[in-house]
Amino acid sequence: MKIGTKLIISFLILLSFSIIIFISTVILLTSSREKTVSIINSTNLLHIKSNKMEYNMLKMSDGLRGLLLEPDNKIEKKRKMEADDEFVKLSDETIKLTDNKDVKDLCIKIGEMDDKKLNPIEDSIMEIVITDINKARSLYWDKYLPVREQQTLMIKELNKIVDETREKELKKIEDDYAVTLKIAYTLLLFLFLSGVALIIYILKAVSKPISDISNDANYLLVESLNGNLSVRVNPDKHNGEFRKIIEGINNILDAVSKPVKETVGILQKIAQGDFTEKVINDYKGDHAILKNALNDTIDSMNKILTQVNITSQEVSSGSQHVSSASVSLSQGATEQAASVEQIASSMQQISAQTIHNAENASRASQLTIQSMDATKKGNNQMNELTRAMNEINDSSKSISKIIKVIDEIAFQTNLLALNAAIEAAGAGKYGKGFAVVAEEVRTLAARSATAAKETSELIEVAIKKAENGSNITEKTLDVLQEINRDVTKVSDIVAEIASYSNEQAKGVSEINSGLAQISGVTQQTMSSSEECASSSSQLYEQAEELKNMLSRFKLTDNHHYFEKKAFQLTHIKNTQLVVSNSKDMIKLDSDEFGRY
Amino acid sequence: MNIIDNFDDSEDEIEEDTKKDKYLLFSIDNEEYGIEIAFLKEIICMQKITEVPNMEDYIKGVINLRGKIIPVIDVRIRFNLNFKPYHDRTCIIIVNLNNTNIGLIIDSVSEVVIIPENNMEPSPKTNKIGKTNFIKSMGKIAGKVKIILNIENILTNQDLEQINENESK
Repeated sequence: MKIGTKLIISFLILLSFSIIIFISTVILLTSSREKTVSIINSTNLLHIKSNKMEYNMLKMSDGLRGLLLEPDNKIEKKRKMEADDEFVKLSDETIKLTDNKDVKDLCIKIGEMDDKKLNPIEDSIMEIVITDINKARSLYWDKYLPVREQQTLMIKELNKIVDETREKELKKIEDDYAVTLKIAYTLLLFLFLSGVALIIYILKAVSKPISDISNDANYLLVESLNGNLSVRVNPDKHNGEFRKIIEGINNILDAVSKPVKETVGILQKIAQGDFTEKVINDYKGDHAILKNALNDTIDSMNKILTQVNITSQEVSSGSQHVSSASVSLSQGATEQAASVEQIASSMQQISAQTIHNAENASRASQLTIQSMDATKKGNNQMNELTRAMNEINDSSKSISKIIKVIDEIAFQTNLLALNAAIEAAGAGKYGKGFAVVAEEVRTLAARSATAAKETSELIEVAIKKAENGSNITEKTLDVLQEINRDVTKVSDIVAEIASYSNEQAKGVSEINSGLAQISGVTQQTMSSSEECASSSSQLYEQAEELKNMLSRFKLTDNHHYFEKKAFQLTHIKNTQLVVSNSKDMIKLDSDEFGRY
Repeated sequence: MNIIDNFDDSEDEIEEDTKKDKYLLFSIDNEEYGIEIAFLKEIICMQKITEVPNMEDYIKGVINLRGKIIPVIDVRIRFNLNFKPYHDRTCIIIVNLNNTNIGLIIDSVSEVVIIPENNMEPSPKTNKIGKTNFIKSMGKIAGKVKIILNIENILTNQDLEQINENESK
């Protein structure tokens, strides 16, 4: 427990004790005061009541005496009755007011005396006062007054008892006061004693630990000045706040020595080539600067070595690529040589074929001349055909004229027949046979008319067909002339083909000489690509050596990232290389093609 | 003229028997019409027409038939049809009306037929008032109907008088 809390608790206990003493004293004093006041008050009240009772008793006897003097005086009688009632009332009040049994008994006795002894006498006096005043007076003096006297004495007795009771009570209060005083003194003494004990305890609790702690702190300081930062004091020897002081000094020493230790450890690792570890713990101030400087150094070393690693890998992979590329180049050159030979042989074939083409073209030219003659003959035949058609047309027209004449004759005949019929009708019964003949003639005329009509239609159709035929022959003539023209064109084209074929033969021989040159260049390419392959393999070996040297160093995980990046980079470069190569090849080809 | 007159006078009774119910059919456009044979003189083909001034438009003029002057009427125009140019197949029918010969220009003649009286129907009275009724009756023959013309109404009396005056002059 802390000393502070101890002190506070003990002071609080003392304070509460004193408060308790104060409060209890105040309570006792207040209660005694209240008791005193109540006793005095009740005693006074009882005195007043008893006095009033006495006064009323006197009033009653006085009233009765008045009646004896003046029996008809109603006022006196009334006074007496009122006093009587008042007395009863007062007696009840007194009984209620007090707790004292003696007082109560006495009060009851006085009431009973009034009730049983005096009241009957009073009644008898008031009865006989009018009739026999003397007897009444004797009753009053002999019987009534002595009892009343007795009653008065009882009242005095009552007062005396009350006074005695008061005295008793006061005495009791006095005793209580003495007891209270004793208790208060006792408590005060206890308070004093406990305060003294507390002071002694505090002195003991504070002075010894202070000397202990100063010794220990001194020891630690001396040792740390000598450079022994690992020395510590066991804090369990001390208690409370002092223990905390020792712990604090220990912590300070820890805080100073810990970064030094960590830094030393990391520097030792770096000396072994391990760059993976860093100062991890959080430090403040100068230690933070030390930590950051060391960490930055490790980071930059990591970066540099990683970069070197990547570069060596790139060189390695690049040299591999160069090697493989030069090998494939060599292979390509070999294949190229073979292809050039094939091309040379194909070219010889082409040469033979072009000569054959030229021969065929001249033969085709002769054939076209023959076909031109044939078309000319066809033309003549067609002209003859047209002439024949026209002759047919002419004869059809002359037939048509004849038919018209026949039709005219038929019409006239018809008219004649009708006129004959009319005439026959006019001839009466002699004309009947004639009418029949006329009818027959008319029918024949009609028939020849229809026949003429049909014939003329047929002739018209024949004429149209003949015209159609002559149209067709004209068209055929056109077609034949077109054929003639086309054949001429074909003849020209065939002649061109023949001349081109000759030129082609010359070109092919030029291609052959070009191919011989290509063959020489390919041989050169083959030898230089082999040289390239050997030097790139040397480069690869050197890069591998560099990689091995670098593998001594252990680096942070970050270098994996760099490796990946490096791989991606080389990959991209390779693809670009391939693409550019292919482009070059295409260009070469097209150039060569265009040259021949 | 003399021959025909003689013929009419001498053979009066016989004529009535043989000419009865006989009709000449002719056509204008695609329609066939009939005329009683009793009025007929003869049928001729188209002649040269000499135009006469100050006449109705359907009276085309006169022709010279074997020395006789005969007026000709274009039936198409008389029937309020369109004029059709004449050609060598156009026919003229010479009819005798109140001893006057008149030529009727028609498209073509067909034949002489016999239509019995009981096959005749009266003409439908559909003509408008004020127009001349050319139709005499309707003749049924072989399921067809032929319009029999009323020759007397083709020329008005005024026309006839004019023609007669011309002839007498």
